[in-house]
Amino acid sequence: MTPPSSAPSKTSQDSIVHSDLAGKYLSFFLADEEYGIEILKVQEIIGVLPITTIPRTPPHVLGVINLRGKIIPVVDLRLRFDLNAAEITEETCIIVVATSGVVMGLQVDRVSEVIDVEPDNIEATPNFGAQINTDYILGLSRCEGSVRLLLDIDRVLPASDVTLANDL
Amino acid sequence: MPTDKLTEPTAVPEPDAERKPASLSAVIDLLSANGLSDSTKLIDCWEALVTLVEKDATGAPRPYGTKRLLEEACNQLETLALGTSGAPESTLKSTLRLLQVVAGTDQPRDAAASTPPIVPEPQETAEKASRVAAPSEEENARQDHAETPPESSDAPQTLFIAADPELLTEFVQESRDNLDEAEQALLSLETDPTNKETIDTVFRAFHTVKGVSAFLDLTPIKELAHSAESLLSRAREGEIRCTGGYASLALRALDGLRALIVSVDSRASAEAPLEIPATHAKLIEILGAPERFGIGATASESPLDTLLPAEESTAPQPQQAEAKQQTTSDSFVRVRTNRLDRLLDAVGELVIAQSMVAQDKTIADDQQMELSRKVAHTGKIVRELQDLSMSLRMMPLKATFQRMERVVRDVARKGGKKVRLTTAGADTEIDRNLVDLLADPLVHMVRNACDHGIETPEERLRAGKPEIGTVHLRAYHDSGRVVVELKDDGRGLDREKILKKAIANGLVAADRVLSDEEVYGLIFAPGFSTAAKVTDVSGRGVGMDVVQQSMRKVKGRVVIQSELGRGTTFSIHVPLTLAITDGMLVRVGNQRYIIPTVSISMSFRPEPEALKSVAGRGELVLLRGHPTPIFRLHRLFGIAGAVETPSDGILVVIGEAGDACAILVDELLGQHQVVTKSLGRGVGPVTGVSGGAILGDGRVGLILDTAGFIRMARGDQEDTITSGAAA
Repeated sequence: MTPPSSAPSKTSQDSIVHSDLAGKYLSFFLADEEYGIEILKVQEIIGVLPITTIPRTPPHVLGVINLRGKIIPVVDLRLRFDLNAAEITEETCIIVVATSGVVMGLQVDRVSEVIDVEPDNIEATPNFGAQINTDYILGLSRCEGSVRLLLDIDRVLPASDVTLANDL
Repeated sequence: MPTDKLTEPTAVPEPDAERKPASLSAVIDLLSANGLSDSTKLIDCWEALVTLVEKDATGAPRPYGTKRLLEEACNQLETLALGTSGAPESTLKSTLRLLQVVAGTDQPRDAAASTPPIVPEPQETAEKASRVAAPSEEENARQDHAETPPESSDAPQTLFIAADPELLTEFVQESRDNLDEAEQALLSLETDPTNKETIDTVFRAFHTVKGVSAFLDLTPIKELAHSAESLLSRAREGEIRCTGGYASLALRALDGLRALIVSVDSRASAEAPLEIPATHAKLIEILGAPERFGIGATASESPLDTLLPAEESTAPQPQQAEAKQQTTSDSFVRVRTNRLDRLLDAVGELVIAQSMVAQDKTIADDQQMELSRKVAHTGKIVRELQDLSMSLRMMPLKATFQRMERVVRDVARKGGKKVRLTTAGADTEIDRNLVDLLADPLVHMVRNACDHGIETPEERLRAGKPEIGTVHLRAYHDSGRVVVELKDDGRGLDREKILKKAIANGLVAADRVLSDEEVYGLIFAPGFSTAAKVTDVSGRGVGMDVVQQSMRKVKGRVVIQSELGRGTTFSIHVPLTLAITDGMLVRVGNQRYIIPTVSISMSFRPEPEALKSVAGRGELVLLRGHPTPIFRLHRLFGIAGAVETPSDGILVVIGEAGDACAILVDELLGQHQVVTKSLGRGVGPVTGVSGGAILGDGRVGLILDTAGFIRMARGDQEDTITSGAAA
C-alpha cells in the first residue's frame, strides 16, 4: 500500500534525518502493530496501577495514577490511535515517559524489547493521504521482516493535548 | 567657650596643653568629691593626654576615627565629672583605653570597639587631640561633630561596586540579620532605655555593618552606619536616652541601611551601580547632630518626617531576612524546596507502603507474632518520620509578630496614640509559605487596630479606660488549624453605623435583617472601607478587602467579634500548611472526591418533601426555607453507577449563605487531611478539580474546586435550559 513514487525525490534530505533517528528504541505492541519509542525518553515501565479518572477529559486520557507519591496522567495509546480499547491483561503495562519536563504514562498492550535501530534500516514515513495523520511518526524501521513505527512521543503527547481537550 | 576650635586645624596646641593639666586636676577633684578614689587611672589618663599633645606637636597626620575616639573619651570624662556614670570605675578604664588608643600606646579593643577595622593604625596620632582633651571643651567636641559630618555631604548618587559577589552576598545576609536584631533591640530600648546590653546590641550591629561595608568599599553604607553608630555611642555613654526622637532617628538610619543593603542585593547585575537615596546625605547630617534639627529624647513626634520625606519602599522588611531571623540562635541548613517536597513525597509513600504491609494477611492474621511485632515497630518509626518531615516546613510566627511591634510603634506615633503590643504564642509553628502570606494581612489589621480601633489617650481617659491602649496578638493551634487572634481594647465596631453606611452604599437591602457576623463582614467589602473611613464610622475597614483576598489565598477565614466601646477581636483561622487540605472524602459511584472542609457549610440527607423541581429541570432543596439548587456530581462529571435520587444520597452544601448550593454525592467517607498535589504538568487545569491527593490506600483522589465546580454547574444548567427553550 506504500506508493513508492514519491520516495526518491526526498531521499537525499531524508537520509540525514534518518541517521539522526538511529539509536536504541523500546518496542511495544498495540493490537498487532509494533511501535518504537526512543529509549532515552522512557523513565520506567510499570504494571497497571489503579487509575483515577479525571472528569471531562477525552476518552484516551485514562486518568491519573500515583507513581511513588507523584501524580502523573496516563494515556491509553490504543484509544489515542483510534484503536479499540483492549482488556487489561497480565502483559498490559504503562510506559512512563519524560518529555520536555512532562512525565506521563502510556498504557500499551505489551512491551517487547529494546532494539538497536541502524541508520540503514530507517525509512521515511510513507504518505498515507489525508485519512491517516502521520505527524507523530518519525519513520519506519525494518528489521528481520517486521516493520516498526517509530513514534515522535512529543507529538503523540503534546502537553497541551489533555488541556486542550479539556477546554473543548 | 569657643565652639570652632576643632574645626580650625591651625589652632595652636600649646595653650591647650598648658590648660589641660589644670582642667584635669579639676576633674580629679570633682571625681573624688563624688567618691571616686582610684586616681591612678586618672593620672594615666592625664599621661595619655600629654603623649597626645607631644605627638601632636610633631605634626603627624590625624588618622581617621581619632577625633571620634577623643570625643568618646571626653564624653566619658564628662559623665564621670557629673557623676552620672553608673559604673565610674569601668568608665574610667574605658576612657583610659580610648585615650591610649588615640595616643597609640594601645591597640583598639573592648571600649575602642568603635574603631572600624579599616582605620589605619592609630599610631601617628591626632594633632587636635590636646584641644579636645580638656573636659571644659567637651561641648566643642560635639559641636564639631555636628559641623563636619563624616565626608558625607558630597556623597555620590550612585556607586559602582567592585567587591566579590560572593562576599557581597554574605555581607547582605549578615547585615540583614544584624539589622533585624538591632531593630528589635531599639524597640525594646524605648521601654527600657538604660539597658546597657541592649544598647550594645544595637551598637554592635551598626558597627559590624560599618566594618564590613568599609572592607567592601561600600562607602555610603559605611558612612551611614558610622553616623548611626556615633548616635548610639552617645546613648551608650549615657549622654542621651535612646527614646522618642532619637529612637525614631536610629530606626530611620536602620531603615536607610536596610534599603541600601537591599539595593545592593537586588541590583540587576553585578556591574549595575548602587543607587543612593536622595535623603542619604541629609540623614547622615541629622545623625551627626540631631539636636540641631530639633530631635530629642522627649519629642513624641519628631520633625523627622518633614526633614526626611518618607521613603515607603524602605518600610517593608525583606521577607527572607525575616525568615532567617528566627534561626539566628539555631544553626540551620538551607535546603531546596523541591528536595524537601521529594522527601515528603517519599515519606508519604513509605507510610502507605508500610500500612499495606501491616494490613497484609500474613500479618493481620496474627499467625506470625514475631513478624507482626517487627512490622508494628517499623510502623512507629515511619509515623515518627512522617511527623518529622512535616515539621521541616514549619517555622514559628515569631518573626512576623516582631515585625508587628514596629508597625504598632510607627502607627501609634503618627496618630498620637499610646499603644502597647503584647503577644502570646509566638512559637506557634506554621507552614513557611503561609508565614509570608499571613504577614501582609496582619500588618493591615494591626495598623487598623492602632489607627482606628484604639482611641486617643484623651478619649480613652474620658471613657474611663487606661491611657495606653493594648493590642494583643495571640497565636494558637485549634483542631488542626492555626488561629491568629488580634484583640484590641479600643472603641469597637459600631454595628448601626456600618449598617447605615452599607445600606447607603447599596450593599445591603434596607429591610434585611443581618446577624452581627454578617454586619461585621461588611467591612471586608471592597470600596466600603474607604467610605467608612471618610465618615469615620468606627474607622475600621482600610484595606480590609486586602485581608479578605489574602484569606482566600491561604484558605483561611476571619472571624470578627466586637463590643462597642470595649474593643474588637479579629481571629484569622488558617490551615497549618497550604500543602495539606482538610477535606471530606466523598464517594460518587466508584469514584472518590475530596471536598475541602473550608467550603462545606453542612451536609445532610434530604427528606423527599424538601425537594422541589423547577420547570421539570433544575432541582431545588429547601434549606431552612431557602431554596437551594442541587447539582449532581455524577452527572456533571459523567460518573456511572451513582445514586440518582437525592433522598438516597447526601447533599453537601457549599458556598456562602444566599449563594449556596448543594452537591449530591453517594456517601461521606470521612474527614481526611490530604497533601495537595498538582495533577502533573501533563494535565492542564481541569474545571472543577483543583488538584489531586494520594489517599490512604495509595490511590489518587481528586480534590474538588468548589468555586469552579459551581461555575461549571451553573454554566451547564444555563446551557441545558437555553437549549431546552430553543427546542
